[in-house]
Amino acid sequence: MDETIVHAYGVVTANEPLGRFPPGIADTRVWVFDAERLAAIVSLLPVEGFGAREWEQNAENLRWLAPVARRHHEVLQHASANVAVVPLRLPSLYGSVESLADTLRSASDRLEHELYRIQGKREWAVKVYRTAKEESSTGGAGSTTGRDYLLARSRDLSSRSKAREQLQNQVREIHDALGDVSAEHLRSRPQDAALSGRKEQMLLNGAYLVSHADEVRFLGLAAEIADSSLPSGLLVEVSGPWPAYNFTGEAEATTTAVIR
Amino acid sequence: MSNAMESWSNEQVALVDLIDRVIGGGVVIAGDVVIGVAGVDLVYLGLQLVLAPAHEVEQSVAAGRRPA
Repeated sequence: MDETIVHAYGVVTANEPLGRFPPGIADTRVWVFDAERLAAIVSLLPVEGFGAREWEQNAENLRWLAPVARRHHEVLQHASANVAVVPLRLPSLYGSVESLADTLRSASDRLEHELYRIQGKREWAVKVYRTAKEESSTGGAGSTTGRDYLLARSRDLSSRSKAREQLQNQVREIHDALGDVSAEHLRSRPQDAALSGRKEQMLLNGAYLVSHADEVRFLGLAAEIADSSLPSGLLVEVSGPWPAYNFTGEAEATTTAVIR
Repeated sequence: MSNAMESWSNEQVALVDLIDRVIGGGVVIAGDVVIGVAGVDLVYLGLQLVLAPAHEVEQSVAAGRRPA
């Protein structure tokens, strides 16, 4: 058999019912590997194709990375539908299940703390886009004198900066209101339109860790906000539940996401 | 659910959201063959450069073959 490497998707409490997993990276079989109180969701990947060297060479190649990221996510999505799962950040490679077990043991305090943090909660994402274009500048058109032009121009700029400030406040209020119904919440940097493929400007890229008990309230509030914000040119999008990517790991990790 | 609000269930997650999370979120536990810190930094740097046309790449990935 060709040489293999262990890919770990996430960490769960040992002996949790996880059901049958979807196929892993490169269509490999996914299973749960117990290491005392914790367990790792893993699959064996061929070193040739998915080892550290490939990561170094291909991590910038989205044709290679996209299917890897997608499968990693799908496995975590499956597991987190039922139990608390600490997602492991990519790349997540181990030489053998034994070395992974050692790693889990040495990090068990931290991992158990992470599991405790997300127990009984799920991550939701709320994005706010601006649908309306910024009011087009009159730029002092029609002004007869230079002075009129400058005055009109300055009025125009100040009203635009006011409108921008108002939007920022509105978005902050949305984030705070959703945060009030959440156990934890954070704002990631808005995605660039070039990355999201959307024409609308993203104003809020929020993540919310919501307890099961508050989920209906959270989603109801999000729907309410979406309806009431639409007339003012804000499009609110909710997605989830996500594996708790944003509420596990170092706090700084969640804010230094890839986006430039 | 309101018209103004869209929530996904079965449809594909946008690649940019995915990459954002699987590489920017979650926990790092050091393993024996995990790429060194320098290597990961390199990954980050590279992604910043290539993520720009992510949605286009995704379309071509979806249309073409998936790497085995």
